[in-house]
Amino acid sequence: MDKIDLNLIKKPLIIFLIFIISSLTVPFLLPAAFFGAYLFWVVLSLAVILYGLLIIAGGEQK
Amino acid sequence: MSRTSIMLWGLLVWFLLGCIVSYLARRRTGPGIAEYFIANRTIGGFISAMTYSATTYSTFMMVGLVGMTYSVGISAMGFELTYLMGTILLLVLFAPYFWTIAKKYNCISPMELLSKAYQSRSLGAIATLFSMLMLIPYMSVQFTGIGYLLETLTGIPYRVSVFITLIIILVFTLWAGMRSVAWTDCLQSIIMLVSSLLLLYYVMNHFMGGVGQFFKIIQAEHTELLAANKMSYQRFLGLTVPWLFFALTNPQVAQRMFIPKDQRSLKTMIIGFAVFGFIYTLIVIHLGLAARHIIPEVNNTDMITPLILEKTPIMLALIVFLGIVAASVSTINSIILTLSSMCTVDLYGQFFEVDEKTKLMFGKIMVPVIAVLAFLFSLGKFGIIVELSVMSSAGLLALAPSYFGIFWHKRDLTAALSSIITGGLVTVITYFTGYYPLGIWPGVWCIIVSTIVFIAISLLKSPYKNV
Repeated sequence: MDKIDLNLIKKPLIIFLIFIISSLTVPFLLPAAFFGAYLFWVVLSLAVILYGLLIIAGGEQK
Repeated sequence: MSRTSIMLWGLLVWFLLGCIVSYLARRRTGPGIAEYFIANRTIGGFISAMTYSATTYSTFMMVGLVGMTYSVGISAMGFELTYLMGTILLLVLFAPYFWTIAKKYNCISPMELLSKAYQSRSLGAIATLFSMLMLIPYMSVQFTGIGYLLETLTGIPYRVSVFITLIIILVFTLWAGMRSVAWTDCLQSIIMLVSSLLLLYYVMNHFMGGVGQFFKIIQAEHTELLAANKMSYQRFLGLTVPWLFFALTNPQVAQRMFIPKDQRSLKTMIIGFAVFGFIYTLIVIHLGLAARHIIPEVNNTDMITPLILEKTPIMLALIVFLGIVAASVSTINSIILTLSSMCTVDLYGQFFEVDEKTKLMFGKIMVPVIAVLAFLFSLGKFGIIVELSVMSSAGLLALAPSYFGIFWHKRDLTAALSSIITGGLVTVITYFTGYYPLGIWPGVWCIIVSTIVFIAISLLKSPYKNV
C-alpha cells in the first residue's frame, strides 16, 4: 500500500487539532450571550472552513 | 383540498420527480459492479458534494437537532459544528489519499480498502458484518421517522407509511445504483436546504418580528439557551467524539470519497459539503432557538418541528415535510447501497470464485434484502431500536484505529481485528449496563480502548512489511 507523506500533513493536522480542541473547551468558559460561546463557535467553524479551503488551494498549486 | 390531500399530492409529485431523475441516471449507467456501486468514479464535484451532504444529514437535523436546541440551546450547535470541523479535517487531509489508493487498487467499498491494506480477507468480512450489525438499526430509525411523520401529517397508518418508504427507496436505489442515488441525493439536498431556509425565513418574520428582534428576544428572555454548559460536559463529549470520526467510520460516507471523477471534483466535494453543512446547521439551530419562544413548555422535543409546521401555511408545511422525507430517504438509500456493495465485494466476492456478472446480480439482490431487513426492524419495538441506533454511532468508532492504521507502518492485522472486537464489546457492555466509568460515555470509551488495543498489539508484534 502506498505511504502517505506525514510531514506534508503534520502542520495542518496540528492546526486543525487546535481548532477542534478549542471548540471542545473554550466556549464553556465564555458568557451566555450571543457575543460569547455562540459567536465563538460560528467564527471558529468559519475559520476551519477557510483554513480547509487554503489547504486545498495550496495542494492544487503543487 | 384538505391538508392531508395536499401532503399526499406533494409526496406523489416529489416521488415522480425523483423517478425521472433516477430514470435519467439509469440511461447513463453502464455495466459492472464498479459502475453500479461507485458510478465508476465518474461523479462530478457538485453532485459529489450534494450526495455527501444528503447522505450525512438525515431526519436527525430537522427533527432531532431542532428539538435538542430547544432543550439545551447552543451546546447543540457546538456539538454539530465540532462534528463539521472534524469532518473537514478528515476530508481535507486524508480524502485525497483515500481517493488515490482506492483508485489505484480498484477498491469499491471502504472495507475492501482495509482488506487490501492489511492483506486479509477476514478483516474486510468482519468489518462488513460489524457495520451491518450497527447500521441496520440506524436505518430502521430513519424508516420509523418517516413513518411517524407521514402518519402525523397525512393520516396514513404507520405500517403503510413505512411500506411506502420502502418502495420509494427501492425505486431510487435498485434502478441504477450509485448514479441514481447520487443524482436523486442532489435533488434531495436542494429540497432540504431550500425548505429549511424558507421555514426559517417565515419563522423569523412571522413569529419573531425579524432577525434583529430574534437576537434581542433570545438574549433577553432565553439567556440560558446561550450558555455552552446547558448540556452536561460529559454528554457533550459523549455525543461529539463519535461524530468527529463519522467521515471515516460510517461506510456510507467513507465510500463517497471514492466516487469523484478526479482530485479537482474531490476538492469541490469537500468545499461544497463544508459550506452546505455550515449553512444547514445554522438554519436548524436558529429554528430550535426560535421554537423555544414560539411554543414554550413542550416536553417531547421530537414534536417541536411538527408543532411548528402546524402553525405554518400549508404549502410551506408541505415543502418542509418533503425536505424532511428527502433527508431520510437520501440517508437510507446510501446506507443500503453501501452495505450491499460491502456484502458483494467483502463477503461474497472474497469467498466465492464468481464472475462480475454474478457478483452484480448478488449485489442487486442484496439491496432489497437489506432494505426489507431494516423495514422489518422498523416494525418492531421503537424504544429498543432507538437505543440500538444511538449505540451504533458509538460502536462504529471501533473501526477508526484500523483506518488510521493504514498510515502507520507498524499496523498489524491481529491488532485491527482485536481493536474492532474489543471496541464493539466495550460499547455494547457500557451501553446496556448503563455503567459509564468516570462518567465517560460509551463512544469515548470505545475509541480509547480500541486505540490502546490497536497500538499495543501492533507494537508487540513484529513490524508490518509494506507491499
